[in-house]
Amino acid sequence: MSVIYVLLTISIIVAVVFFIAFIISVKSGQYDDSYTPSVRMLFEDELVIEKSPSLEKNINPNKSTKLKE
Amino acid sequence: MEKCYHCGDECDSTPIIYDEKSFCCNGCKTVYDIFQSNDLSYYYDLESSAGATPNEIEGKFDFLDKKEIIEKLTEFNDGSHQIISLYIPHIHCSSCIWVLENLNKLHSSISNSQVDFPKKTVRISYIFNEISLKNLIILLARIGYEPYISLEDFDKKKKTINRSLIYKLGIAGFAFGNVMFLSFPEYLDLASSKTNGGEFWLEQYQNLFRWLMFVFSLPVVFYAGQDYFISAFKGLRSKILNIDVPIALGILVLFLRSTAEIIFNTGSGFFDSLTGLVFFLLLGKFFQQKTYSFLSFERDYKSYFPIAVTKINSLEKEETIQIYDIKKGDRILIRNEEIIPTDGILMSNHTQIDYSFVTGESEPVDKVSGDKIYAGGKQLNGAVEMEVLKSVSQSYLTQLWSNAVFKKDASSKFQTLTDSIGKRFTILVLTIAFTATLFWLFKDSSKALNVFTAVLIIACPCAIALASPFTLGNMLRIFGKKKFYLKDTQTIEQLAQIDTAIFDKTGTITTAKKSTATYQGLPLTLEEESLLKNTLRASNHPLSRSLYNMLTAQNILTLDEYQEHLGKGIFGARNNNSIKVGSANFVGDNTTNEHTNTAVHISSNNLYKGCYVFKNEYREGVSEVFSEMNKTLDLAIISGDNDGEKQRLETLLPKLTPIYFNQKPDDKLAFITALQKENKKVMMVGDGLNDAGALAKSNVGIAISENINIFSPACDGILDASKFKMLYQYILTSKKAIKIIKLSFLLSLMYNVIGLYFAVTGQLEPVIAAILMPLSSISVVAFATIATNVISRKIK
Repeated sequence: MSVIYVLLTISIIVAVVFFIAFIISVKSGQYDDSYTPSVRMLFEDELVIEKSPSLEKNINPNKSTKLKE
Repeated sequence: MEKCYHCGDECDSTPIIYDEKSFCCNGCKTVYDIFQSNDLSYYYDLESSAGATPNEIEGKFDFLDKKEIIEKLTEFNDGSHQIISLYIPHIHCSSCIWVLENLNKLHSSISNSQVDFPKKTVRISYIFNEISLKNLIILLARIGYEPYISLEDFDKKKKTINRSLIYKLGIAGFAFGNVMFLSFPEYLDLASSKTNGGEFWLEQYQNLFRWLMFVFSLPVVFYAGQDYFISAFKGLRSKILNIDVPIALGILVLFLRSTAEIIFNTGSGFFDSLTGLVFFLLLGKFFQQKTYSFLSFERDYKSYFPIAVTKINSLEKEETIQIYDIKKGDRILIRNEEIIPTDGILMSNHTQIDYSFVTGESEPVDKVSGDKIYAGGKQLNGAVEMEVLKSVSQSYLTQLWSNAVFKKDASSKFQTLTDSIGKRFTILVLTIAFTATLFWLFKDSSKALNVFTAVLIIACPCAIALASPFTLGNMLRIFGKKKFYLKDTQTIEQLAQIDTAIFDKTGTITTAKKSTATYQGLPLTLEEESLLKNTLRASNHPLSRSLYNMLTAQNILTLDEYQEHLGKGIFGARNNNSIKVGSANFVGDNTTNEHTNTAVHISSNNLYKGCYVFKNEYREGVSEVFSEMNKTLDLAIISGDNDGEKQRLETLLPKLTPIYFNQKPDDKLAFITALQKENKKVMMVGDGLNDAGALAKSNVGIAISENINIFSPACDGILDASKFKMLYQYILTSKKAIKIIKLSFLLSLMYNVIGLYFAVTGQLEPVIAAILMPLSSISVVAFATIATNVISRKIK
């Protein structure tokens, strides 16, 4: 079989994979709100540090102050 | 004066100092305290003073204990977990997003919360057994993020978001790219025979390439482009030649001719142009589809009404009932600031009702026991009881909505500029196509079909169809940035056509925020002024509040005695001096004649001093706006108010502007209808429910709003009150936008003429089509975008 069939198949498969990824992302609602994620990503770091302890325990006013700064 | 650390409002002369920060009130301080003690102080680092003062919510959300109501409001409910989307008007900055997405720090049972900023909603999932919906809402209200829950949320069916346009755009774009890629050999003529310098191996696979292109174009024609076929078919069925007819014809001919070409191996087809055409057209549609998801242009009374009210049952106990379950004869309790849901009779001694939403009257109306009260009023006097006379669906206010104006879709009749041009264009194209075919039939009949299809392909009005969406879509965005929010792009076209502008008075050309008052009578001594200010401090009556804000600041004194006489006035005493503030009768004045204007009378130590006369304050630049508009438009004022302001209005407005007073909502609607019968294109500018009928009936209904997040009746556009003076500029800019569309049409017509030359002479090569189509589209889009930006520079 000629190499062009292989190349064409690969190129179309790659294109279709991306196309399916697009459809899935639309379906899951990623395009519904295109603004909030742009703000959310700016405080992502902060979230990761503080989220883990607060998930383990209940609210305690005096905990995790050391995590700031 | 210091600004509150939490909400940014100005603090009084004595701010509350806490943690070395100043706060305007205890509410703000409490929120700060909650955030501080729950490790949420990052809130203040993101944006300074982003908060809101929490409102009094005592009993307001009691209805959330009811199972049926919870069931209707939640998106997901499996007994232990619940998910709810709440609309929170206060969401306005990154601090808001951050704190609402960190709600689990406040309560561990909230598992996840996600903000949708453009819609101003937050979607919260929580464990129902550990935090009830009511407690969740109270928690939000306590930190200043009180959700807005109305009857509309209760009735609304679960919305399915229509994402088909994005799918179609994706498919068309995907196919366009791949087809372009596959037709690359054809462009450079690489596949032709070796003698022409072509590549042998590409020639060998030419058919494979072509059939692949065919496969890619299938979903484009039959899925992405289906709207054009449907619209063209509908248009033809109702005997209208809209712009979609030549487009659908173009797509169809492109597809059929291309398929025929590859079947009979006569050429490569126009699959690249075909997919590109659909892609560009959908792009225009997508661009036009700008929506302000946090605004609603379709509101009716349901978004004003609460979901449930408190009923006093036969055992004298309070019980929450759903608003549709209210029956004639029920006794219901209306709390402070609550909307009266239906018509009834007042049972409590006295109350004040603000009917400004319904009638446009700016002053609250006094009602005493036994008086009939109507739905839609806002109760301003503590908690009162009323006996229901009619069920919600039969009340005066609800009946307003049964008017036919609210049912039919008025905009469907409007013929857009594109459609009216599309009609002439289609006729022209078909004439050219048939003439050229006829000519070729005699000259060289083998080329006739070729020419016929080529004309239809090249004349496909892609650029024309793009001119309007891009011009108006961009205009819509620019207007939105300047705080003039329109429902759709069609509104701009209609705005450009209006010749008559009708204004409501109260709330539209007057402001609700700051009223001015002039003092008439004997001058007050310093001591009296101080006593007056301190007496007013204690009162919650709207007039007291605005008078209090107007008077110069005084030291805070503790009164020896303070009494509030409902519906009459207030009494304050200190150091043997007393002051009475209120109605003329209450302060003991019998001399003054009846004022049509609102006045607050004052007497000191039982001696009549004088009165503050309140005046409606007109918006900044009203006079200028009117005199400018008077040049090209017919103007009129139509007000639900009494004629107390008549003389002042006449001095403000251009001479001979008709002014109508005491107009009921129905009268306003009838007035607009009468004007439209005279073939006038009417713009109605209003603000309240009382204008709702007129706003819906008019060609363009614009609601003025002090705060775009709160109430506005159903309309075509919402104008931020601070931009009122630019109103005429918006209209002028819309007119210019229409000119831009017409120029864009000319531009795209030029490309069509060039293309038609190739088509008619029978030399249309796929390459030419593939170059002309995107080139004309892109230049039209660029022209439209740049030109709209230039013309809107004038709007400040």
